Amino acid sequence: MKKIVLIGNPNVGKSAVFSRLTGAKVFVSNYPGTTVEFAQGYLTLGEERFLVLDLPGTYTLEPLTKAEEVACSMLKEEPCLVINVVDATNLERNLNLTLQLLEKGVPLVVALNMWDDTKHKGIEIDVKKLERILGVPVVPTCALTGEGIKNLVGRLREAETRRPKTVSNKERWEKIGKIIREAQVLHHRHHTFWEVLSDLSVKPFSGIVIASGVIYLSFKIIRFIGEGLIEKVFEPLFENFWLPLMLDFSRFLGGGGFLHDIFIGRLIEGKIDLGASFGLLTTGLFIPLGVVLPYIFSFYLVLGLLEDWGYLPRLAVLVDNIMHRLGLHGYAIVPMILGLGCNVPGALATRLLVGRREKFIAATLMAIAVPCMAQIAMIVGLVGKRGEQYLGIVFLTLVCLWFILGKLLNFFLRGESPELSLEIPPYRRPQPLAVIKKLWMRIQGFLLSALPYVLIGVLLVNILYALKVIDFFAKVFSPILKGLWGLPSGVISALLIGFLRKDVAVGMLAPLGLSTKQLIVSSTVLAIYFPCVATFTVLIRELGLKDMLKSLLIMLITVVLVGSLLNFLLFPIK
Amino acid sequence: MENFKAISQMKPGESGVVIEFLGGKGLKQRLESLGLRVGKRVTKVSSQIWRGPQVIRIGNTQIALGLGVANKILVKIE
Repeated sequence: MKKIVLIGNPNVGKSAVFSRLTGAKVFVSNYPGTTVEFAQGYLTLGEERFLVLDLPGTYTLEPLTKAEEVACSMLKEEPCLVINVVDATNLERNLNLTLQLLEKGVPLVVALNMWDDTKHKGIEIDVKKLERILGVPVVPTCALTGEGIKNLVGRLREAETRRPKTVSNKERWEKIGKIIREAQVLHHRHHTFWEVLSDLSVKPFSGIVIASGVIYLSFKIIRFIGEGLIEKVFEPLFENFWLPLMLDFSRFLGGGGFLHDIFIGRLIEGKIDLGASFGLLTTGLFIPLGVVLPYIFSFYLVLGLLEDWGYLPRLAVLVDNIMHRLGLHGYAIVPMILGLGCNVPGALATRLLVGRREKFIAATLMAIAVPCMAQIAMIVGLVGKRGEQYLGIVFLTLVCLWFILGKLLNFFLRGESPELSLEIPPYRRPQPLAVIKKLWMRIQGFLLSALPYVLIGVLLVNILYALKVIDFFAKVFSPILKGLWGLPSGVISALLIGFLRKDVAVGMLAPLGLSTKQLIVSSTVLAIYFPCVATFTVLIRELGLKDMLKSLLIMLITVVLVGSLLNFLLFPIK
Repeated sequence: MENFKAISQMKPGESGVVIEFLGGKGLKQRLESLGLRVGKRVTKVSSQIWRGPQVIRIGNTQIALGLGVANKILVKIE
């Protein structure tokens, strides 16, 4: 099938145009580097069907990061048509890539995106003239509203291959200067509210005040909505509607036996405990839907708003200083924040970073010290019941670990931390429909990828118990468990399942009757310990086997040390 | 010579024209692709405390540069 590729600078709205062209669902946000992998969709023109590729953003055809490499390599596969998406409010900078594409001679159409923004920014572009100078179709579009997309599709046929030519950087910039002088007029205008807020967000004092406010509010809202949904909606639903059904089913199965253990799980004091019985239909559904889903919903709602507003690059500027001490630069905060939702997109986002050293540090820190929302939700549910202060111990430990481990890695790994050079996009008002669409895509992603793993995990627990495998491992690892961490050997079952799914693993601590101290130690150990299988596969791909093994070795040493230290330090807690 | 400064030395609100990059070719290309070139007018927006990144505006774009990079860009103050 013939290919059409979308290429352009970061954060110009390629994914938005792509989604309009193909109807395919992709993530659209307001920060450079939302797309780190290419996405595929289809477009029918007349009788013919085309494969459309959405590529990560790149400033030039000489890639620096992995994400840019992905974009440039796709261009080598000789697409039949290239759509260059251009930010109309930043024409000059964007034309650099446009001219490079023209020099290659590829059949090109230019989409002048964010056209609606040019008016209130006082930018006037003579599209006809621009089209004449460039010699390719130029179509103003506004992908967020869909304006101009039909026109764009209508003109795709006009693109044709030209002879490639070589041009020096200097000549190219001279030409761009000439184009800008001829085709663009700038009018003076006053700062808007968003621009004033934008400046305040990166000024030292006001920036820190705004950042603290945004972070505090985000956590408050996530907790409020997550907790609220669990208490007011999901728990009552499960308790009042699902539990009676399961009780009937339990009686039907005779209250025990192999099938009963698989589907309903073990009865606790003659009753089904949704959190602790560990049957497929009880705990297997209650963990992902009753406990984790509400938090996934609230986290991604808040994250989506922050992403579309454009706050993440500003936060990157403010934390750049701290991140430098860990051998990273400020933009490495993006994989960390995405990792809080799920470590898989977090690991993928390390593609935004430049060097191997930087990627290694970022991925290792994220895998070890950044628990995903599914795990956080379970820890909040389990440890939070014993008291908020204990929850504080778990998360404070992880924050300190993140920082100390980063400092150590920066100290011991040879090389320097790279400098930040980052475009800060303008603030935009998040579009409710776009936010909801993105939230829905992420929830769908969670349900489709997590639910099967959770169910397999719960099934596996029962099988491993039945085969006495868990007893065997419990014996082997009891010196570490009992001796160093002060945990009963039953915790080994949670550690084993931790390979598969972290939320199920934390859930397995529930029926063990642990003391508060043991609960704190085991939750923290589970958070640090091996990434789940989904993250694991992505990390091997992103880091390579050698670096991944190194990262795992660091993880093993860390988990033994931190577990022992907590066990030792927390002696006053019973 | 008091009219020449590195971007890192500019005060917030100050504007100037980029005169020279003191770094290598790679740095130059990276900055050019972000829209920062010799002859461009830049305005300092802010600099973070503790030797943090410097934020500047070029036309309609804001970019953040690490201090090390900002030290290497020479600007003639207007």
